[in-house]
Amino acid sequence: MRDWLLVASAQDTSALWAFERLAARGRPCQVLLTEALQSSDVRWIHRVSTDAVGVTVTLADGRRIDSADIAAVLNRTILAPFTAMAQGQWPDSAYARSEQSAFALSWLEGLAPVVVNSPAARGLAGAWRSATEWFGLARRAGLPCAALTVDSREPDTLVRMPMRPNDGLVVGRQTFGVPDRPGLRAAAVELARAADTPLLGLWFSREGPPRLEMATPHPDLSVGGEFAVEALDELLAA
Amino acid sequence: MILLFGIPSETPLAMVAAALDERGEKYVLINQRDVHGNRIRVSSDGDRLGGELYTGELRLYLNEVDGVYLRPMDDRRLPELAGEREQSALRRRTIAFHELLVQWTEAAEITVINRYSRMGSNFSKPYQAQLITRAGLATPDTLVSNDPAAVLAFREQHGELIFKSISGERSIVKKLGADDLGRLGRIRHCPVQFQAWVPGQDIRVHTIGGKCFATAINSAGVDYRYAALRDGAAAELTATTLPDEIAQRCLALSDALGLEFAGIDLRRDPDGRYVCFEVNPSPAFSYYESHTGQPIAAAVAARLAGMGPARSSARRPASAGAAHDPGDTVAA
Repeated sequence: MRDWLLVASAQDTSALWAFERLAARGRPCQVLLTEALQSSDVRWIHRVSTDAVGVTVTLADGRRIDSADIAAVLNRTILAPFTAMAQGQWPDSAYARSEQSAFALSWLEGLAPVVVNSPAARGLAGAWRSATEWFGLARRAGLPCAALTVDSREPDTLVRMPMRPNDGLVVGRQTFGVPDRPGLRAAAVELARAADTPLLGLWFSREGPPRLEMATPHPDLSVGGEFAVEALDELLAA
Repeated sequence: MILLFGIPSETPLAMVAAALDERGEKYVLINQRDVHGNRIRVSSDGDRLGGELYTGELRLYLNEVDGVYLRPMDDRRLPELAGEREQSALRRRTIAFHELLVQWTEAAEITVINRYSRMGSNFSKPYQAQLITRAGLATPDTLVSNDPAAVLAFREQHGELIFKSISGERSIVKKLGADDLGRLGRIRHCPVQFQAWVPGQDIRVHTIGGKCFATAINSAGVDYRYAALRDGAAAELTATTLPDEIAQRCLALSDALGLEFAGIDLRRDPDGRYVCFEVNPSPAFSYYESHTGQPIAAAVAARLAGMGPARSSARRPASAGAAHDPGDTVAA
């Protein structure tokens, strides 16, 4: 049986917790911390051809991860693991950051047949979107949205990220913490599908009928408790 | 109403504007350099998206826009912002204008050439290669590594190799020579992309509105874009015809990437096999049109005006002519 792999920062407590719970359910889980990938002693071999894609990474401590042994990835990578070269002098550092970000997008995509969320150019754990974009997708998915006014003469209006953990969570076709209103849960699932982010965090307005305020491809997974872990188990096994 | 966004003198943008003039289409060209006059305001009552765009003396209602051609330069490098502090009000408003215009094009249900979200695959060449193979086109065998031994083994397997950037950072493609082998140890600090060298003829394919425009490039250089500079002889470009199957796959690839307009780089090897190197989501098509006379700008203008299928649709290309028009051979 091939392994499941979590790729995450050591700070990502909810993903580490979820993976611990998956391991407790008997799943063959491995964890790859992005901090361990920042060493120049890490060896990378990433092959792409018409017929196959492969990734082999050998960590500084000799541990080896081979995409041939990985069935599914829970991908929570926010930033590419930059080496010292990417943190050095400009302009070499800027070039190295661009190269290492582009590299991360490719090896994350090629790491396993199932990668949740799959990486995108606008976010390594799924695309980050503005409120304007989330609302556009949400309206088409049938999810009511909060009112919005954004003005380029007032740049601060472009930033809209609630300072609290996500209220709701979508894991594949299941929702947790989404208000129990007709059609709302199905619309939330449809939004996650349309955004190509099967793991999706949602915020809703707290006054009046629930309306979407914002969404994130990097949600707090603990919102759904053990039931969300069960849904994650189904998603990674798909 | 059609919006064009960029610098009016930039050749591809100017050619699309001229093609729209020729069609008699109504359009507004938003000059990216008008950093003081440009403003966009997007609003929603929760159900409908609307807003206004101000440029020069004009005010436009966003819900009257049907098509957008995005062709801006990096806004951080605008001459009008030279000398502006990193967080100056003008710089922040200029960046906000660019960002909000892009955000609105992502959310609005209109024709956009191309949405930024769809351009992203070009940010990582090996990532894009994975998407290219899924669309049924071959790609060169590629290794990205920081392990000199792995590179030497790859070279042993393939013979000649080239190396180039992984990201969208512009780089000149070079063959891996003896001098390079001597400094291979440096890759330990940052993985580098190596590819099996594929000999043959370069072909640039532009896909737009369900059509393929193929241009053959004859050049002695490894990277034809820099042939005149590095090899002393400019590349020769001529219109050509793709086999139906390859044209179909190019259209399918553009569709799969969500691109209304794409510049696809192919090479036909000596065995007649087509290999795809990369897809450019904001192609500088003017270089090819000026050499071949292929009506690419006119096709972009037609698509902005709502003509032709959205991306390639399910139509199949015609079998002859430099420009395939699948509209002639629609299956019932």
